[in-house]
Parts: sequence; C-alpha cells; structure tokens
Amino acid sequence: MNLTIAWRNLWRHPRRTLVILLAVIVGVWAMVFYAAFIRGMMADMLRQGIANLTGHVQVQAPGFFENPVIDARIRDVATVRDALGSLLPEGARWTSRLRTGAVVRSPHGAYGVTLVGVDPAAEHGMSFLADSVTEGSGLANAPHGLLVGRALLVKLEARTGHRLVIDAQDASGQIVSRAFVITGVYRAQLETTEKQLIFCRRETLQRMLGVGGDVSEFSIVLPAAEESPAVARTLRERLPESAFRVLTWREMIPFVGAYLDSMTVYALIWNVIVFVAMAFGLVNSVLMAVFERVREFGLVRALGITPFGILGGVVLETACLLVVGAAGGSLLAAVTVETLGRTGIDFSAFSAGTEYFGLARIVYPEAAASDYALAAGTVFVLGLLVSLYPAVKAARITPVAAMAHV
Amino acid sequence: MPYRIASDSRPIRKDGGLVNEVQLAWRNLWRNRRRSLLSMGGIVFAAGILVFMLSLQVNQYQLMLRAAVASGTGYLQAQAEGYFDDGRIWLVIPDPASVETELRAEPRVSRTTVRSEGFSLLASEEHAQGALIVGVRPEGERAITNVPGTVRKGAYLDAGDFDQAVFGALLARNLGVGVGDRVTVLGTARDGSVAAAEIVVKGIFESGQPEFDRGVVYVPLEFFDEVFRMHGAVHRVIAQADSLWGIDATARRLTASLAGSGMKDHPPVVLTWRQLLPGVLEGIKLDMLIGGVMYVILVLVVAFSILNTFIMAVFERTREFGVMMAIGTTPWRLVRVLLLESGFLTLIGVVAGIALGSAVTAYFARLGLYFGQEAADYMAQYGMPPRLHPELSLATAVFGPAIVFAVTMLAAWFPAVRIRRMRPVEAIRVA
Amino acid sequence: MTELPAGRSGAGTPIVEVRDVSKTYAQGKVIVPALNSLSVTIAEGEFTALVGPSGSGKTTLLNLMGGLDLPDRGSILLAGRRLETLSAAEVTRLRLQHVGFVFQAYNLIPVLSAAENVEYVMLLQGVSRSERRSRARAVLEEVGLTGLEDRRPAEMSGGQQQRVAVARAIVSGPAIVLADEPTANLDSHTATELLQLMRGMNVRHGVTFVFATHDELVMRHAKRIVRLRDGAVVEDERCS
Repeated sequence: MNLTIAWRNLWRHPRRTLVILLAVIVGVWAMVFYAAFIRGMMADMLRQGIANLTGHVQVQAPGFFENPVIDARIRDVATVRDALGSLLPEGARWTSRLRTGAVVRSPHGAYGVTLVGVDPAAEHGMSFLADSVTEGSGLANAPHGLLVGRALLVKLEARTGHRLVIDAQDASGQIVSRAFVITGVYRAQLETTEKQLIFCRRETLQRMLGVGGDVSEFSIVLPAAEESPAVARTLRERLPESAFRVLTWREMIPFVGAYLDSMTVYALIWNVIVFVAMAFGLVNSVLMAVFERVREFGLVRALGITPFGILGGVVLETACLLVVGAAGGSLLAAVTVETLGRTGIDFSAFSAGTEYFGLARIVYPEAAASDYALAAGTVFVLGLLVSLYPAVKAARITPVAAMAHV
Repeated sequence: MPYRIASDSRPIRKDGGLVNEVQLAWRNLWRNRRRSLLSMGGIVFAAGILVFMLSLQVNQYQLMLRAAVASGTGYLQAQAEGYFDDGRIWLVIPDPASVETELRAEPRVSRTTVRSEGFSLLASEEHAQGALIVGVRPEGERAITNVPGTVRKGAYLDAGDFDQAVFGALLARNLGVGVGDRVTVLGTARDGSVAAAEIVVKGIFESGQPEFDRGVVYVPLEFFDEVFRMHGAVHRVIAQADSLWGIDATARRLTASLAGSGMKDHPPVVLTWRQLLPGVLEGIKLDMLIGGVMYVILVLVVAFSILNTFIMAVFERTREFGVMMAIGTTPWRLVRVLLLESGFLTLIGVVAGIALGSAVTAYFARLGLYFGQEAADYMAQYGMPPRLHPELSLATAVFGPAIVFAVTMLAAWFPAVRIRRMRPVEAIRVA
Repeated sequence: MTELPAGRSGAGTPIVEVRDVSKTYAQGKVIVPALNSLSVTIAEGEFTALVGPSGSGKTTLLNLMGGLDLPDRGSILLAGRRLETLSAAEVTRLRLQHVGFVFQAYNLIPVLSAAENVEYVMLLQGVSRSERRSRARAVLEEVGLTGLEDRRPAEMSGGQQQRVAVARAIVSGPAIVLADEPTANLDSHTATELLQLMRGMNVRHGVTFVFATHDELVMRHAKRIVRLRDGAVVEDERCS
C-alpha cells in the first residue's frame, strides 16, 4: 500500500520526475561503462602480458627474472617435469623454453633481439605464438627455422626464405653464430614485441648454446587466472628455492596486477563523483516535491500519520526513483557494453599512442556483475542518504503550519 | 480623451525603482533561495572538479613530453634522409658543423649537439649482450638532455675522456660489470668493416625507462668516430628550440635550406620531436580523448540534474507570465528574462567553481599527489616523477568551467524557449 | 433603465467594437462553444459589466476585446484597428499602448514592489526612469496607497494588491481597462472600496472600464449591464 502511494506520488509531475530520472540513468550508465571500459583495457593488458609468453605461473632458475642470462638456467629439468605432471590442475597447459639475448646480423646492420627456443606444438593455447603466424610454415618442420615478427622483418628488409645469422653467448661464455632461415612471420599486439622476439626450435637453440637439455623457463597457463597463487604455492613446496623460482603473473607483470587492484578504488571514486553531480538535482527535486505538498502533509498528519511515517514516505518515493534509475542505467549500460564489447572501440587512429602505452588498439569493454552492483549500490545508498534532508523537513511539518501555508 | 496623469514635482528618492530586465532576472533568481543554491552547488562541483583534473592532466602531459624530449630526442633533429626508417650506419650527415651552423642560425633554435650511433655486441668477462653504442659530446649532452643527471654511480663523460663509457643500469647488471671494469665492443663500421674496441665503465645511469637502462651505452664522440670509422660524420644533429609547439614550419624551412648538402641521395632532413616520437603526442591525445568523454558525461549529468530547476522556474510562473504578456510583455522579453536568470545562476556557479577548484589545485600544487609505489614505478617508465603537482594555468582554470557554462545554458534554453509558444489566454487559464 | 438595441452604446466614440464574433475553444477533450455571433460596442467613458453565469462567455468576450485571443469568426476593432489583421507582435504592442488589465488574482510580479509593478508597464513603453518613478508614485497616491510604494505584493492585503493592479492598469492612460472578476477574492467592504475607486476614475478622468463579473456589487456600480447567456447577448441595459 505504502509502495503504491509512493509510486503514484512519484508520477504526479511526470516531466519533472523524468528529468531527474534521466540524470540518474545517465549517471549509472556512466559508472558502469567506465568500469567496463577500464576492465576491458586491463583484461587485454593481462591477456597480452600472459600471452606474451608470461603465462600464469612460471618456473625459472633463481636470478633469471632479474637478469635473463644463459647462466641462470634450469638444469634439473626432470624434477620440474614431474612436479608439473602431477601437481597441476585439470586443464592446465605447460611448456618449456630456452631464452637468450642475441644479435641478428643482416647485410643491413645488427640488431639486438631475444631469441626464444620453443616447442611449437606445445605453444598452442599457451601464447599468442601459435595463432599469429601470418606467413610461412612456422617452425613445425624446420630445425633451423626462424619465426620473425613482422616489424623486424620490415626493418631487416628480409623475407621468408632469407638467411639470418644470429650471434649469442653460449654456456661456456663464447660467442657462437648460427645461420637460420626465416620460415615464418608472426604478428603481435605491439610492434615492440615483433621487433624484440625471435623464435626458433628449442632443440636447435639448446644445441647451439651447448646446454644439453636445460631450459630457461617453464611456462604454465591455467584454466583460470585466479588459481595462480594456489598453484604457485603447491609448486614451491615441491621445488626447492635453492634451485628453482616459482613466479605468478602478478610478480612478473606487476603493473597490471596493481592496476586491477586499484581499479575498484578508482571506480568507487568516479562513482562518488558522478553521484555528487546528480545529488544536487536529486535533493532539489525531492525538496520541490515536498514543498508542493505541504498542505497534504499537514492533512495526513492531522489524520494521524507520525512524522516518521512522513519521513519514510519521502524516502520510499526517492527509493522508487533510484531503483528505476539504477535499473534503467544498468540496462542501458548492459546494451552499450554488449554492443561495444562485440565490435570493440577502435583506437586505430591513435595507434602510435596505444603502442606507446602498451595498450590494445581496439578495446573491448566487459562489465562484471560487481560493476553493476557498485554503481547501483553507490546511487542507492548515497541517494537515500541525501534524501533524508528533504524527508526530515517534511517530517517537521505540523498540521497547523501546513494549513496556514498558501 | 485618453486619461493622463500629470507629472509630479515631488522629489524622488535616489534608490529604488525598476531599472530593467537584469534587475528582474536577478530578483527572480532569489525567489527560491534554497533551490537556486542547490543548483549552483552542482555547477560549482562540476566546474571545480574540472579545474583540478585538467590542471593535473596538463601537468602530467607536460612532464611526459619534456621527459621524452629530454631523453635525447631534442626538439628538432637533422638526420640523413632515410635514417629514421632504416637506421643504417652509413646514412650519415657528413658535415655536421655546417648543419649545426645552419640550425643555430634559425632564431628559434637555442642549442645544438650531435650524436652517432651503432648497434654492437658488448662482452664482459662472463656475459655478452647487444646494445646501442652512442657517441656523444659531453658538454652538448649536459646542455640539451637529462642523461647526465641520471648517472647514479661513477660519473658522466667529460671532454677529455676517450675510451670511457656510461652504461645503463640494467645493461651493467646483465653484463656483470661495475665502474672501472672493461668491456669489449664488437660492431659494424660505417664502411662495413668490423669495428672492435675496448671500453672502460666510467659511470652507470638509471633513467627509469627500461629501453635506455637495458640497451644504451654512451661513449665520447671522438672514440665512436675512430672505432666506427665515421670520418667526422654523425647520425644526428640535435637541436633545442624555444618551445615544443609550432616548430613544424621551422623544421620544413631548415630541411629546405639543407637540401643540396650532405650525402648525394640522402640529404639531411630536419624532423620535429613529434615525428620522432609519434607515440607520445598521440598517447597524450588518446588520454585526453578518454578524459574528455568522461568529463562531458559528468557535465551532462549535472545539466540534467539541474534542468529540473529551470523547468520548474517556468512552470510555476505560468500564470505570472500570462499576466505579463497580457499587459504587453512580448514573449521574447520573457525568454530573455529567463535566460538571464539561468545565466546568473550558471555564472555564479562557474565562478565559484573556478575559485574552489583553483584553491584545491593550488593546495595540491604545493603538496604534490602520490599514487602509490607501483603507480610511481609505472609512471617512471614514461619519465614522470613519483609525485605529481597539478599546475594551474589560465587555460585549465577556464576551459572546463566554460564547457559547464555552455552545456548548462543549453539546458536552460529549452524550457525558456517554450515560452515563445505560450499564449496569454492559455497561461492565464491555467489559474 | 433604458433598454437599448443590442450593440449600441450611448454618446462617445467607440473604443472596442465586437462585430458578429464566434469563438469555440477546447478544454481537454471537450469542445466548448463560447460565443455565438455576438456583437457589442463599448464607447468611451463607459463603466460596463458583462454579466452571466459561468460558461456564458463573458471572460472569453473580455479576452477577445483585449486582444488576448482571436475570434474564430467575425472581427474586433480596438482603437480603430482590426485585430484579426494584425500580427501577434502588433497586437501585443496595441495592448501595451491602449489596454489596461486587472485580473482576479496573480496580477502583480511578486519580486517587484508596488511602485515597481506600476513602473513595469512604463518600462515596456520606454518611458524615462525619472518620469516612470514620478508617475508611478502619483498614481499610487491616487489609489490611496501612499506609503506602501516599496512593499512587495506578499506584504499587502488582497485589496491593496488589487489597487496596485488598478494603478498599473491606468498609469499609461489606456483607452480601456478590462477587469476579469477583480472583486472575486475580496470581502464586500474591500470590494466596494475598489469599485468606488474605479468608478471615481471613470467619472473624474473618463477612463473606460469593462468588467466580466457575476458579483452583485459590480453590477450595482455599473452604468451599463450586458447580460450574456450561452454565448449571446440577451440583455443590454443602461443604469445609473
């Protein structure tokens, strides 16, 4: 009954209610969309970071992360293989790689790169590598094959089938050279990636550097990123610190982790700011509604409603307004996020800029349930809070004063 | 005979009396003080926040730009045509002196220096790594770039040094060397032959930007010249100008005047920092765009939020307007009065917002804003210090609030214009 | 009382001529026929009451006379000009120069003082500041409100507010003053005072007044009563 009255009261002045409702809808939409946008950007950064060979968890030799030299490599490969084979959850994938700094010598000059020896079959589903080969046959049947990034290819003025000589420091400290043939070209999110990473077969690199079966890193991709800390813990128990270092993605690309953490805080701050922007109008609207009805309030007080009842009524009305507004804004946001989440927001016009910040050229916003909850929650809780001001004013109206009011 | 009242000769009080619409509008504004104040509050809030945010952003951008440019790009650079795309060691400026003279003759250019570069393999006792060897003029570097200031261990190069070198911190660590250690250099010279030499670590710098700390070594220009057989040629002539902006024309002019000189098919071209670092400016534009969208949304929310005030102001006074029109007020006059009312409200709000925003900005300009260690590390990558100080300028203080003003007045326009279509009879009949 | 043929007044130049006017208007979904081929002429110096039950069309007739509305058929001559031929702006200007209005309520601008309300019309007419002020104060004295010039409407009684309205209506020497139920919200004593004031203006200065009313008091003061019913004149009598 109270609800019906509150609802009808709201629509006494349809135009006025609609205008403030519009403010709430736009506000809630802005809150959710901002969160979805940032989440999309961060999700992409995370995916990029992880796909960029990081994986969710890695096992390395101690000191390799700070200083990726060939000396810091995993010599006891078997132990790690056992551990991974038995301890990883269902659906996890892993592979091992050998990684070293190297110099590419071409007729045109010398360039510093990172040479990564991989197991091409295992890279499927692990990193961007398997799905990003645009030319050539990749590394599958080419022991001396090389997978080169497109940007580097352009820089070297090379083509598939060309020879490249690569120098690197082997296990004994000598510089060794080996000729490779470019058998594939890959494309990555960022040009810097394409210029930095060159891939060859792990066995070839192991032989070239004389490290036997040693590798630099084991990279693990889990079905869900959230499992990373738990998996890392289990692995650490099995693999002693003296010989192994287990890292989660958070430790390897801390910025992304930090940003995701602070996202909630930033989203909340933005939500509050947007709310304050609409709060002034909200309070005004409720005040107007209250003052228009002074005589009516006086009347119902004379009939026996308590001040608290009046206060409750005003708050209930505001609550109805906020619920409709939050629902409308959320709906609008859901539609926007759904559409833009599929097509993506194209920042290609700023491609040099996105490259500079290491961002994706196309952002796909994605909204989590918590985003909607935070937006609706902010608006609802704070909205009811500010509606107390006009509600208290309404509650203070005495029947006598009301009747004397024009 | 129309009735006429004789002018009265009694003395008139100086004050009192209706002057014009402005007076009417101003008084109308305060008819409902609480309502007007609340509406102003929204405007003050929006305007104030924009002042603060824009000041902060502008400061961030300026720092980013300055850091990017000071890391070695300079404001203008002369290079052999094609060097920017290919970076081949044999694409040189054979006569740097004449190019420097030409550049310095340009009034906007203040200082110049030169650099030569070649990628080489560096080998210490235990490790080897590729890095960029950069031959520099120490005094020139001190004047134009911020690199000398980032030396953390040892010292930066001086005029007399020959085979001394300053290493990036990560590079030094990867090679396992410290001040005083020797490192072998192996690269390709200008004529294609092998360039080999030994250098001594004189200093270690830390810029916070991994691409420099991991991949660059600075050596004296004379040393580079000899080892890489440059015969006096350089790769870059770097110039500092009086301002970051508006130097495109200058660059074009200089390119034209240098046209006939240098290498036969690769004369020197003069590039601006914008061409050399397209990412920075675009990145800033991108950030501005995203920020801009957010701000527009905020302003829209405020505008909708106080639209009600404007609507009610018209709605409540329909009868009054009817009477005014009956006694001869044109609809346009009424619209003017309403717009003046909204104008006063918005103007006061905007001015107060500017004042409040400026005060908050000034406070943080002194105190500085700190976003946490991880954020500081992230920002260091782009050359920004861990503490940010928002910088208040005329532009940042006025631009945001001006948008608030414009959008709010636009919102006020709609209810006001409806009066034009109002007919006195209908208005009075509302009674 | 002498009965006159409908539409003809006594001596004096005609100020408003209503010729064969019909008017309907819509109130929500209902179409109301307000006036039906009505003709009446108001001459200078009259003190006339348009009388009839609600719905008889008296307010509509008053509005048409003042150019606040246009008839569906027929024509209105105000100060010699045919209103149907004029643009909205011209009608507004005509009203400004030649017609004074007094309504039942909400006559005054709340944020202006009594004197400023009177000055407002002169402001619209472009009268100079000093002349505005002196004339306003003079006319307020005429209506007996000396000392209350700087009071706002909220600080005055109903009767005082109506007097200010009258003052504003006559300050520019209009050809005619149209009053729509001016006494409806007043007690009989105050109403009588107001009517006597207006009657005095009429007698001393020759101001023409037309009232739309169903108040007995007004009828008693009127010099001519035009009775309306269902949008047509049914009686038109002069009385003293």
